[in-house]
Amino acid sequence: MEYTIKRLIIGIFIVLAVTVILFGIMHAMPGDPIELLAGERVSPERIAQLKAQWGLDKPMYIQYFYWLSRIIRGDFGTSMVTKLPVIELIKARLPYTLLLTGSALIVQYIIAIPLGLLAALKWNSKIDRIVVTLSIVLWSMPNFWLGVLLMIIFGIKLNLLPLSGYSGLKSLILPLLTLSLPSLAGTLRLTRSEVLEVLREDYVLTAYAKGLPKYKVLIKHVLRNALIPVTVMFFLYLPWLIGGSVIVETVFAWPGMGRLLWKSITVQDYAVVQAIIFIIALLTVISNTIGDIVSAVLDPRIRESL
Amino acid sequence: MRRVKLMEKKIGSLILFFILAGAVVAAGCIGGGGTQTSTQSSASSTSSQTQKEVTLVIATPEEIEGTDIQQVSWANIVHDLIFQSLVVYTLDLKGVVPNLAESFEVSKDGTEITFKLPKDAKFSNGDPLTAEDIKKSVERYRNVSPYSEDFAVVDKIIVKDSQTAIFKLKEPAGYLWAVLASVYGAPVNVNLANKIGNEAFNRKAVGSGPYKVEEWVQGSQITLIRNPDYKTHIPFVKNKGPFKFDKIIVRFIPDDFTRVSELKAGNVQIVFGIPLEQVATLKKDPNVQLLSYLQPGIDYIMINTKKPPLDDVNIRKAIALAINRKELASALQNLVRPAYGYLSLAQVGYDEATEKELQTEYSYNLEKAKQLLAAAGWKDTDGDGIVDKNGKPLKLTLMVPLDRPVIKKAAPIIQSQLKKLGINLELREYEYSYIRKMTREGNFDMAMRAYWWNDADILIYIFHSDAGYPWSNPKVDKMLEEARTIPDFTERAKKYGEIQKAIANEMPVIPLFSEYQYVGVRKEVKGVIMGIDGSIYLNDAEIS
Repeated sequence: MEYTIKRLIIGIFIVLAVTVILFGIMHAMPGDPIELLAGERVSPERIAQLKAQWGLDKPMYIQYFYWLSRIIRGDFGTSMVTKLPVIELIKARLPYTLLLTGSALIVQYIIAIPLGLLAALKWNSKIDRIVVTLSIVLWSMPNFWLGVLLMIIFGIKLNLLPLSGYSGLKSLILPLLTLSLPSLAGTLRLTRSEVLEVLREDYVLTAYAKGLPKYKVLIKHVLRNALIPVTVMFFLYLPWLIGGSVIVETVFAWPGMGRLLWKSITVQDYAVVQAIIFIIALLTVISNTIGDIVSAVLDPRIRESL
Repeated sequence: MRRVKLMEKKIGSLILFFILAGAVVAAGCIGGGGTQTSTQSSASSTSSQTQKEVTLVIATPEEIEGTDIQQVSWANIVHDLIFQSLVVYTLDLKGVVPNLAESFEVSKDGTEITFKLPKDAKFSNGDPLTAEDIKKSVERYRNVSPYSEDFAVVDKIIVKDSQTAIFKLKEPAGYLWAVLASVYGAPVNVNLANKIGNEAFNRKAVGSGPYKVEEWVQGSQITLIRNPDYKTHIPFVKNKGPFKFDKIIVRFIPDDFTRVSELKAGNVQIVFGIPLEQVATLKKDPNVQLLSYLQPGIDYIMINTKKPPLDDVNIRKAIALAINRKELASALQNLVRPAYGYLSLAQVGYDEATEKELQTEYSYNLEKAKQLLAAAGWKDTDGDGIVDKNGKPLKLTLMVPLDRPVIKKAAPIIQSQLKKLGINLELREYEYSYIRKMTREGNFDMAMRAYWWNDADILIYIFHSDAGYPWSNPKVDKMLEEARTIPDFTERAKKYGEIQKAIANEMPVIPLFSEYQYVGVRKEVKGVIMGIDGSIYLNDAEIS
């Protein structure tokens, strides 16, 4: 408990540090949304006037404290581009990103863990080699390339699935595959190597020796121990669930958070970028802490060392 | 051990809960929107059971900033469909014709423009549109738009009666047409905006255009439904009433490949922002026709006239003469049109004679360029191919915008062309807005830039001393101010001809070219009309 509180306090400072650094970087970048968006026919005076309207003429630290005091009151501010509340922009995008990343994560785990287990049990067999080769191929495929490939095959040549945008669950399939296939390989390989390691442990031998049936040994002793890192990995994925994927969302014109973040960075829409990064930083800290706690619960050795 | 097990189970179910809750929330939120639209479409299909609903799908690379034309920095096809300007330019930009206004009249001295509105003019939500609304729109524009200075010349607007609005100008202003004839200056329903607030109005703005906003799914698309009350007075369209599509969906597809694929697959009928590398393949596609228009403006090199050695006009002219624009155009697959003057064909104020004159004077001529350099004291004394003066070689940097693909491609070609003149040109890539900032601060040698606006008045924002760039000339200042006030199109073009020659004489900016832009249209869509500056009219368009 004490440990958890310590972690959370450190976490708050980490989040604060992230926002300070981000604020510094964003404002150090040349230009601002007003200059970036305004066409050529805006005079320097009008630009100054608009900047003052948004408080951009104030010193940076004052702008930061304004922002911080608003965040504490739960107000994420207003987008300088759309002139809409940031929270509204995030609310519009979040469901799509959660749907995409959430289902990708589920698909990834459902496929990767059994395959990883299988490969480890059949270590050095034909099946193992096929699974490992496949995972290397998947792992080395860039997202944008895989996305375009799937689009050409299933969208254009076979004309089975919608190419882009969100138009019901059918349109989820291609971005889902593009997102989950490459990252599936990582989880698969992690599961495989962990299971292999555990299989070589003495207590597994003991379990076999005392005559436990194979499935019991596998589930109770092998998987339970091997899946600790895989479970912790899961929690590290949580911030990404919210952040989305810029590349996949752009290729498939998916109306998610990744694109919102990317677009906002390119036009330096401060309020939006800061809000999203703040949420991601907060989630990273929280999910890391949860991950630690979970691994402690699953593994008595870690718990004791806390 | 037992407690641990319990915890384990709890955490297991917690994880499951998180995923499920997330998925349910996600599906719930999206599903909510989905059912809403499906009920709406079923409702509208029952009302017109006999006729099938016709939907046109358009794709653009950029999402709109908002739907309210007065609050955005950039207009998009969406705004063209929601709003309706009082007048429009003819397709060749040689004159102005009525659109929303039934007719208009300019007083002899050019300081009074009278617009006559049709009797039954309405906003697309059914509110009446009167002269009072025109006045309120202009007043709101001056408050909220980043381009609020557009109407600075308007002294006051007199509402003579509900159908007559008189614009009283401080001085005659030919350039005012550019705003009045563009969607930026179109009337918006100010009463509604005041009632619901700017924020809500930006989500669902109301104008008098052919369509009204049904649903804007941020990051994805906007669905527009036909305004049955729409009426226009544009003489060059046949259909003066409502458009032929019940619905228009404008999708925002940022990726070039995806956008073009959707066009090829036939899921989208009109695509804006065709990337240059796709132009050749799409020209061969039997199902697609490409409409092209010219950039209403030019891409150019701005020179820091305050920084030696570029403060010497001979060097600037030598550089202008050493750039082979024809070679440049063919290297860019002729997707650009060489420019010698400071205006393009797709701008009001362009003067053919001036362009020809400047072309003969500043066409590629390496010999003359070398002579000018030599006259300025720059010669290649050490035989390394680079000219030098007092032992110092001529080395200059060129700022290149990395976010403007065509300009970026042109930069290395210009670098090699100037090498032949003996100038060592170093290319440095930056974001366009950073380049604009650095040029305003005078912190550069040479910088590649561009402008887009269909009226010659844009020159005042680059060459007038108030614009804040290194070069200015009191004579040119005065000429630019004068040119604004000329109401007659031909007279004004002549004046801008003189201005261009005066600027070229000091060569603070070297014109390079105007870019051709492409719009992809499926062959089954007929009747799309496009002006030379890219303004698009779908009044007569239909799907066969």
